[in-house]
Amino acid sequence: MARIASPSRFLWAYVITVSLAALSCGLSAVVLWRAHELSSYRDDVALQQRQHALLGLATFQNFYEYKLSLVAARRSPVLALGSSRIMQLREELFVDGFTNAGGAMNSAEQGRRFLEALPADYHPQLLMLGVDFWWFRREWSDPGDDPRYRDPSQLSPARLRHPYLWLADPRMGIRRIVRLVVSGNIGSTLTSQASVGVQAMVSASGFRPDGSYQYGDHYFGTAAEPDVRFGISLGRIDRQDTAFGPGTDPDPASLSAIDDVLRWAAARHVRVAMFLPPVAPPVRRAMIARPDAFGYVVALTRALEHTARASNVEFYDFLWREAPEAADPCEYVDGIHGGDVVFGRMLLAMAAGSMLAQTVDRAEVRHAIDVYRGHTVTPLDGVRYARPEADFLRLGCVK
Amino acid sequence: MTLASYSFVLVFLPIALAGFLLLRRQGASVLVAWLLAVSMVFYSWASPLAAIALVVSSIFNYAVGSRLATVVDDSRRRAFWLFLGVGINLAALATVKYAPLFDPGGGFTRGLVSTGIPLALSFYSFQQMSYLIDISRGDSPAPTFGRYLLFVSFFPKLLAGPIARARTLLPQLDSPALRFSTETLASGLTLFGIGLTKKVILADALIPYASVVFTDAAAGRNVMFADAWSGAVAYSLGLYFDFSGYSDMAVGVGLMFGIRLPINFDAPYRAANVRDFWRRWHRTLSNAFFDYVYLPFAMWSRRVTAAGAYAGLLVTMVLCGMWHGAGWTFVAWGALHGGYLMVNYGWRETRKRWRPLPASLATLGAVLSGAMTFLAVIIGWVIFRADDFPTALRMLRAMAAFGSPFAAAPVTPWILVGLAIVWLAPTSQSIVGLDLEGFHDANATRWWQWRPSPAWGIGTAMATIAALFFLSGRQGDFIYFKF
Repeated sequence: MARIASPSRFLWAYVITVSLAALSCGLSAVVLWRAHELSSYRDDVALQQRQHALLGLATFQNFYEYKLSLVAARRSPVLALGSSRIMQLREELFVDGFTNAGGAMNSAEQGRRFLEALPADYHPQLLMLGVDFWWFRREWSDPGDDPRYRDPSQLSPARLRHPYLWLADPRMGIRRIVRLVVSGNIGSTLTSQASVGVQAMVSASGFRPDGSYQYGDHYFGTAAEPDVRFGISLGRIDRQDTAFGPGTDPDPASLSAIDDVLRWAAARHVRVAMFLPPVAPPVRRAMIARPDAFGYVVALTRALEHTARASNVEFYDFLWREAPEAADPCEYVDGIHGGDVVFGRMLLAMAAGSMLAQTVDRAEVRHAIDVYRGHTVTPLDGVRYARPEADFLRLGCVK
Repeated sequence: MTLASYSFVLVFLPIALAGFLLLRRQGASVLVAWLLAVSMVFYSWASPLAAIALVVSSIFNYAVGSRLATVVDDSRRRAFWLFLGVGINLAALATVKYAPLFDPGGGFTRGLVSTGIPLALSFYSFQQMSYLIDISRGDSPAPTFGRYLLFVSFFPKLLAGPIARARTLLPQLDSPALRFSTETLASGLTLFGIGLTKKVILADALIPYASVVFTDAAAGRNVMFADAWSGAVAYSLGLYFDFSGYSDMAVGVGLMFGIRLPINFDAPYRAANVRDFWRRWHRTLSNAFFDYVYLPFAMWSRRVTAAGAYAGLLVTMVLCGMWHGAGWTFVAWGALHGGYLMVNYGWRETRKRWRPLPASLATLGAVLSGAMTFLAVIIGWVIFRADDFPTALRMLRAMAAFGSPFAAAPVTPWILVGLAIVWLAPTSQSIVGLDLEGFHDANATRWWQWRPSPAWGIGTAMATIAALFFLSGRQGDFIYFKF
């Protein structure tokens, strides 16, 4: 022990370092906590429903878990399930209660899991099942579930970093952060909505109380990377990356998972309307021009039609067939996400002479289409926006 | 609450340490009472019923030990009390460990698990049996009940060891304040930081990768050659970093309170042969099995047959496998290592009759021997990890490329980092400058070895903080808790 000269200096250095780290982490955690970024999804959903607020967390994202909590809390008779591509279906367009679980289903298998995970004493009366074509590529993998990132209450180093980054963000800065800590909510300068989470506060982006998504930063033309003239989406088709990778024939395992979903619904007497959501017309044309890569979509459409007939459910193809409802590029958020008006038109088409006729508020939908033709967002919920919708895709759209 | 949890690191340990430092000048009895209290809180945190079971078990063993201390010279009475004590410990251990084998419905097992009683039972039962044997041999002091209870329940080593022997731990509890110093606190903090880093950054990166491969094999899916090897090596490394990390943390926490616990791992994957491996892997358990099972059995059986040493190795390792849990894969793993040790024993006996090899050949032989040992150990871990024999066979077949497609290895960089550390980096104890009994080694003066400088203080604190960041969302459970 003779070589140990001064352990007290070691201990002082240790204590000071730990204290500084604890102080900086503690300050950061306080900011996150006051912004509701550290609440559980269950608590966030309760607060969102109570305040009729937009929920947009800046430091955490798990759509699957959020939508499970949301659906369990709302227990609506109409449920939309699919990927982010169906998140513009909104409750104002339906006669009865509606919840959008878009974003929770990023593979056929994940959709099956989602339905199995719903509370045992709840199931919708009508399931609107949005199906993405890329789930049926053999190379598409199920996103799985990482228990480390299940709930916002799970703190991580990356999240503690955020409040320090916000200091340099002109939308936040030290004064707004201090106000946030003091008041717990600094609201949004962009809309009249109550906000839960910092993303909702600074960019008016997030989930509305019904689970539909508000692309605030897109509408106002402040999104970091807008899909200008659909260049990003068309580039992905050229590169054949991720969702736009080539396929041969539809993956049997994914078709089987869709069968399971329909069986789940049949066992509970849940009516199902299954549909392929559209892509923007230029993106669709680029896909059709590449039969080598997207030929499998034709086979997929037939397979889904067959499955739907066999299961006695309705099926609508807005992707591959020439769909006039989805023909205006100005009404898209980006190359693969249709806006509110696109989905309004789709709903009208689906409701014509089908079981959806009694479910869709066709008068409200027609009104939205008439008033907001050529727009992406339809503020049917009474939310006031500080700025008009911008021509964020730079297509020369008159907004 | 585990040693790698926020509740332990940020709440429990600071309180336990602050209380210890405040009471440090109040005398040994007060310190023992404090350490006993915090140990009971620690264990009760997991399960109050488990803490009650531990106290009841300690009362029984203390009573038997006290009786044994008075009959050391009377071999018949000594044997009676020793068999009674060890037998009841074994019966309790077997009841809890092997209940699933005789409980097809699983109701009793589930009820038992829900009480929390199985947690740490293997470790504290083993420690108490070793106490009874030591005291029957006159190798252990006879403590007061309070010190005995602290010997059994001292919280850093309670859940997964190291298994401290009575003759080394009990004397330290007579005057813990005299053994505490700012040096032990500083080196304990460093060893704890190293252990936490091993567990949270290395083990937790490797184990999930291995789990994916073993889960595929368990589900009957075809595991490819490269995946099987990656999974097996990732598990071997992950298990080492997990358990040795926990042991480092336990020894480190002990040092913070001035109590030296034995070092449990000594670079096992650098072992020259399987015998050497067991001197380096989970040393406190293998030493105890050697002293209490192998030696008595081998000495007894040698009187009966020349093959007694071989039989002793096999029996010892099968029992070691059974200690790890109720499952034929554990028995097979133990038997496999017993077989390895028998081959090693036979080889050493044969080599004794040969002339020594030239230096160059001896070096080559040592390298080959080390590589074979690592390979043999990995094969053993596959059986140890597998849920059942079909899973183990599927993995081993894939590793042997029998009927398994060969594919490019998706080797995670963590495997390469892990291999570099286990083969090349200094061990935790050598960095901190501890010998294998947990005492400071005055000869530890190399440039990379720990010294109580401000730079080491800052570095240790930052490593611990980084590990705590990685811990978020994991609340690291340790693999060895289930044994």
